[in-house]
Amino acid sequence: MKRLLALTLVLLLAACGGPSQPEYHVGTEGVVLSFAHDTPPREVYEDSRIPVLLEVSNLGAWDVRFEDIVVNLTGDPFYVAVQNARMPKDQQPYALDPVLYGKQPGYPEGEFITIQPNVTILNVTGPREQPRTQLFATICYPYATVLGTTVCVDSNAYNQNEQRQVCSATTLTYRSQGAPVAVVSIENRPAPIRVSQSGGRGYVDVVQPTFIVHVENLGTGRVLQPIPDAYSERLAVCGGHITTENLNKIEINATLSGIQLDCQPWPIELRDDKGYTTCVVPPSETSALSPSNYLGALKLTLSYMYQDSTSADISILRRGYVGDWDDYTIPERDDHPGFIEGEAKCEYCQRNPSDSRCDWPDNVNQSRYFQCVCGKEECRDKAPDGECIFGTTWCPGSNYCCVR
Amino acid sequence: MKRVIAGVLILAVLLTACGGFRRGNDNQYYDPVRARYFEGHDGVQMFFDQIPPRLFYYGNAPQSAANDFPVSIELRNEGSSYTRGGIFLSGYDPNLIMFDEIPIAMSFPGACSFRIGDWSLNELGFFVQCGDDFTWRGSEENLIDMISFHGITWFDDILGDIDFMYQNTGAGDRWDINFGGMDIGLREHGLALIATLSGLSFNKFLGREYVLAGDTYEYPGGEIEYVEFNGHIINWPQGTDEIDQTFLVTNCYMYTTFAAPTVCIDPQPYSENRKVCNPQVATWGRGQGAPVAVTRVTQENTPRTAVFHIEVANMGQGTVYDAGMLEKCSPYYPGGARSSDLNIIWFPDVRINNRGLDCTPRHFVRLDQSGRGSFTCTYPIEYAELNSAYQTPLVIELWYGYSETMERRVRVKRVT
Repeated sequence: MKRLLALTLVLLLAACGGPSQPEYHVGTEGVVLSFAHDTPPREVYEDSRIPVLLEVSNLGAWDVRFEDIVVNLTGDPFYVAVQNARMPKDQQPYALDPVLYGKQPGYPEGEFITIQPNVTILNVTGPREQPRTQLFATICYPYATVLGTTVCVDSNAYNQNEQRQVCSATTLTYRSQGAPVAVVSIENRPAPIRVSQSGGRGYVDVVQPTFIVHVENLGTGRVLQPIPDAYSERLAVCGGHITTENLNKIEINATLSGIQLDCQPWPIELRDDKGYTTCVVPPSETSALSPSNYLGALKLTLSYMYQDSTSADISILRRGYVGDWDDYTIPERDDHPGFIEGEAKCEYCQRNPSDSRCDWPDNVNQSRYFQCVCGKEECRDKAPDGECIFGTTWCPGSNYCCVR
Repeated sequence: MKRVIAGVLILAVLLTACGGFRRGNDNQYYDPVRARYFEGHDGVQMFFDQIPPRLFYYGNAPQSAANDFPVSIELRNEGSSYTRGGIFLSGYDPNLIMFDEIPIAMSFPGACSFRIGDWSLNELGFFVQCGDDFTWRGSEENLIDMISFHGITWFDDILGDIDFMYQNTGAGDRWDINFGGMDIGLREHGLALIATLSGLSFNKFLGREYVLAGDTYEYPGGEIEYVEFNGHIINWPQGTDEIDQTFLVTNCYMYTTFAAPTVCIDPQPYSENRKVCNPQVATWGRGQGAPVAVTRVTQENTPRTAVFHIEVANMGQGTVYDAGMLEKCSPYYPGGARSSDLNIIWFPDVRINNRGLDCTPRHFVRLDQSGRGSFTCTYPIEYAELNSAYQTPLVIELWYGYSETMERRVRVKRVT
């Protein structure tokens, strides 16, 4: 009987807590790209169009404009032809709603959209019975991590003040803020400095609030530095060449009760997905602080680009007879998007640059001599300079159209 | 068995109710006329009167009256000393909240410190040293201003007998306060301390000053006052929906402890004759109506001198300050209070009849980490030719500053 009463009391007390508020600024996901609705099928036939549905879901706490998201779908050009591989900004599926909302009171689960590219499985040549290949999808988007917290502004850390204070400087730790990059800890380390007094009255010793902010990439992708709003620049980096200059850099904006903080290093550079910066109240602003300790509002905003990827395996079924090599029918070259009039598109357009079928990228100097001789890595290095076209429709096989 | 236990308990309750049990030696000092006023360990008690609620809301309009809130503090002098002190409100974010009475952005002048020099029965000398950018007006002017500002009548009977004399010495500004031939009893219980430290300012470091009479014959129950602060939320940090703030209230005041145990003076301690008294140990269990108490007085008699060992202790919940350093009690004082500013008790008045005793350490005692201290005073026996023991009161008055704090945490939410 006593146990029943105790259990009832515990249940009642737990119930009296009421429904808890949903937390939106939690989790380590941002905009997630996934293949939806069991697409593509695991087994597909050669020489066929296959259904592919990509779902772009904003599972973090930051809103992203749709036009800022770069999605790219690629496959082995020997087996797969992809059209609408990139989603240019003017192809918005929901023209009236240009923002992909993150988690917030109106969108407790965030928001998602779907993209349906055209994917064709090519005729398979050669004695390949049931080749396997992959569809590889990448997403690149601007994101931000926002942390608003209360910290102790400790003006008495070094003056051995015997008076009681409402708080003291301590280290704060966090798990996540609803974004792939998270602030994991903030070390509160006030430092003594000497500032000059106004009116030429010499110097005064004050305590400068100092915060060491530790950040970490907790997501499954990689961090790129923030890219200006120009879509072409974003496209060039996200879809093309990424160097160490672009990688693992985060811009931070920090304020303490409305006072702008100076942070160094800026931007934050990640090593092994971890990094830190030191943010201080400028000496000229220390006069705005109270001489007694108090709780101040610290707001940190981390800005960056994030790139993530996903893949789907497909197995290609042959339509024709598998056995005698003489029975194979070699498809017309013109059926392959890498060919024009039986010739590789790269070399055809080299000689006929003004042909309407030659959609040269904007940054390419058409007067240079292009040929299908570069590998993937070499093309990535050359693409920003306009010396390689990082696309799957200019050369057959695994080569890329470049200047060498 | 149960009946026996119950009977013992009932008997204990009845005997206690009838005053049947007494502790220690209190019995010999129990005076039903005085007992109501000079007991306890309380000084100035403070309470939140109108408090900010634990949760309130900020509207989007910064100048809106809806973002205003009062903080009112009730002060009660439940001890037995006259007092003068200041209330300070701190601990909040000055970029978020502003109080009309607390202009934090102002620059502060230097603090003034007071150090007692010498004293005799009618005269007390002290040194005053103030920081830069502060002009000391003088003790007499400060005392008169204080009396006028607070409208008090405590000094009506003695103001004419108080003289301040100034001397500029190499060690600082020296002031001597002379009480003339007035009855020393008129300036006890805090009046002399308040007159000596009349130049000390609580307003200088953003405090709200008050004066309160103690719980004595003249003011039964002690005086009560209310101190108000008018607060406004002036700003809101972007990107924040709610923020916690803590209000810390600090009460700093000067106080005195008065004790007058009856002691036995025996010019012939080795005599076997019958005597009216013998030296005893005096202890107090109920205090003297102040946070710092005289806890014990032991006595040794020689034919020519009586040596008294006096023990004191901080029995309250707060912190003892050097009364002369009370300006540093403010949470806004740059640099804060150091250990050397704390736990100092002055004892300018230790006497038998009208003769002051020589004490060591001289002038003040420092309390240890447990809040206890002691000093020794020697009385050259007068009337030794009487060859007869006699009882007489040993008057002890302690001067000190005291500080207590209380805090309240609130949450402010932004409404859109």
